[in-house]
Amino acid sequence: MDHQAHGLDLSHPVYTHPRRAQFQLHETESPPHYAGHTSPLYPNGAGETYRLTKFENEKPSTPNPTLVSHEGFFTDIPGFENLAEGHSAKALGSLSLARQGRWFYWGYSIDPERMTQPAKDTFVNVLYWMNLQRDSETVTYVTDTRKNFEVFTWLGRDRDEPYLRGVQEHLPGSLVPELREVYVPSFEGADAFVAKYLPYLFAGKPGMPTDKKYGPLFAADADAMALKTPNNDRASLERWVALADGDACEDREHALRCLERYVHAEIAPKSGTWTEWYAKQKARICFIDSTGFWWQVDPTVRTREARAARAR
Amino acid sequence: MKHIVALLLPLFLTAWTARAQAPLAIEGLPLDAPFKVHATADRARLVVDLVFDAGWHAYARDVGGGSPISIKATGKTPANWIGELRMPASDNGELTGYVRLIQRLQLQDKANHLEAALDIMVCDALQCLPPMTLRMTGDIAPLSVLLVVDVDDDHARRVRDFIAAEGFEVDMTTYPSATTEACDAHDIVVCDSKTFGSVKMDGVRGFPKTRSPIVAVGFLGTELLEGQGIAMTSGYI
Repeated sequence: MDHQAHGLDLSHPVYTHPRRAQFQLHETESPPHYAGHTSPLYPNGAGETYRLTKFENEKPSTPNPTLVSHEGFFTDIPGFENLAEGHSAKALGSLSLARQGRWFYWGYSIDPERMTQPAKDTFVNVLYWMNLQRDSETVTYVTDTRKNFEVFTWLGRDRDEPYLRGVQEHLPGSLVPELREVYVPSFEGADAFVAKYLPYLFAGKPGMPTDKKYGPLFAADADAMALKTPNNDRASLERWVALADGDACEDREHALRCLERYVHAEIAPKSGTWTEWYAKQKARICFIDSTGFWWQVDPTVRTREARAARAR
Repeated sequence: MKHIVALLLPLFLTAWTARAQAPLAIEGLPLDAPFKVHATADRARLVVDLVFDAGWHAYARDVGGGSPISIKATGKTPANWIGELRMPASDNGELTGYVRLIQRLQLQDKANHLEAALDIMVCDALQCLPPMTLRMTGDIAPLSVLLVVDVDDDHARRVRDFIAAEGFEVDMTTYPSATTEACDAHDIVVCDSKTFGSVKMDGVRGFPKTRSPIVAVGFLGTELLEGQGIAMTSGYI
């Protein structure tokens, strides 16, 4: 990350009010290693050129790490705002301005001697924008998301000397032992692993193993795989609910275990049928990987409910 | 000297003066009105939260059944209204349940008071109540910012002076000295950072929990997010 940004969502209030931040945008050739990739601000890829601008007048004299949010790391958190990407030598998807609940990340210096004028204007706007967020619900990090595994399939693959630690060390190191055994530690093995298991991976549940280096280890959900129901799809949840309230059969047992595994205890039904529960919760819930792979109350819904309670 | 006093305040004060923005006073709302109102404002926005009782609604736009909600400045309010009143999208033009209205504005330089009127007509399936005008008034203080730095040095003082010059009330403290009480007492907490390799990490991982919004800056900002367990940084590979 350096002093520059791209992908700015210039219609967002942090760029428009009360100051209108007037960035000078320079059309620049996209780095070759951005080709074929997407990110939160480039869901269709960056294209042959992209528009760079400066938040600081000069490049910092030392490296300045920033957040990495490759496509999908946090986009399953309702209300998460991706507002700019940093200029990264690594890949698309290094967020430099982002908000989650009451937290805003500013990936540049706020020393006025370093800031450009539009960066100063943006920073002032951010302070006013965040004053609106005092009661915004923030969700807590529990585990890496499954999207790490997709990144391993391409990170450093096109180099003259491919980066192999991802597929040989980090990917298998993030798996529970039984899943590690079926993984072939190569780029091709990573491709095959992702194709088969990605929709069914989960981690961070109570009682699941963790690793000192890699944190919560990932397992593949045999019940969800048996039903061919990706664990974060709403259609899967609706199928589990229908099966759970249906006749006794093997699929019903799979579904009940999925519901127990993924419906957060805070909202799980205490009585009544799953169908009744879903009718009440349908508009309130979402699935988030990074909080521990839960169907849980949508944080934007919780924010609205808190504001309504305050108004009452 | 003033800088040193500001830096040491959190070390010695046991109670910060709460300076979070106060809600605006609402006049003209009948006790039996089928909705509740809560309004706040800073120098950039007027925010009105409405909660309608079940079965009642107001109108986002003119659909031929009742006047849409509007907000206007009244009295000698020295504010420029910017753009149109923002409200939730509504397919049928009706606003129900919880509704947040936002009017962007710019208070003139030294203005510290806001007066505005909310015109609203509420209806249920059978009837509409007579149109109401609610008067909203209140003092608008500058937003208070707690600037958190690793050390009190030239960089920290430049940042503090920059934020103050932009119209905010700024107190400064260090990461090890920051307290929940101090953070909660400010509208915004700004946790600053120099570049990677030139910052002191003391107190960052153990930063206190707070209800206030936080702007986490640069490298220490990422450390802070990780330390607080905020789902924004799980992407490191």
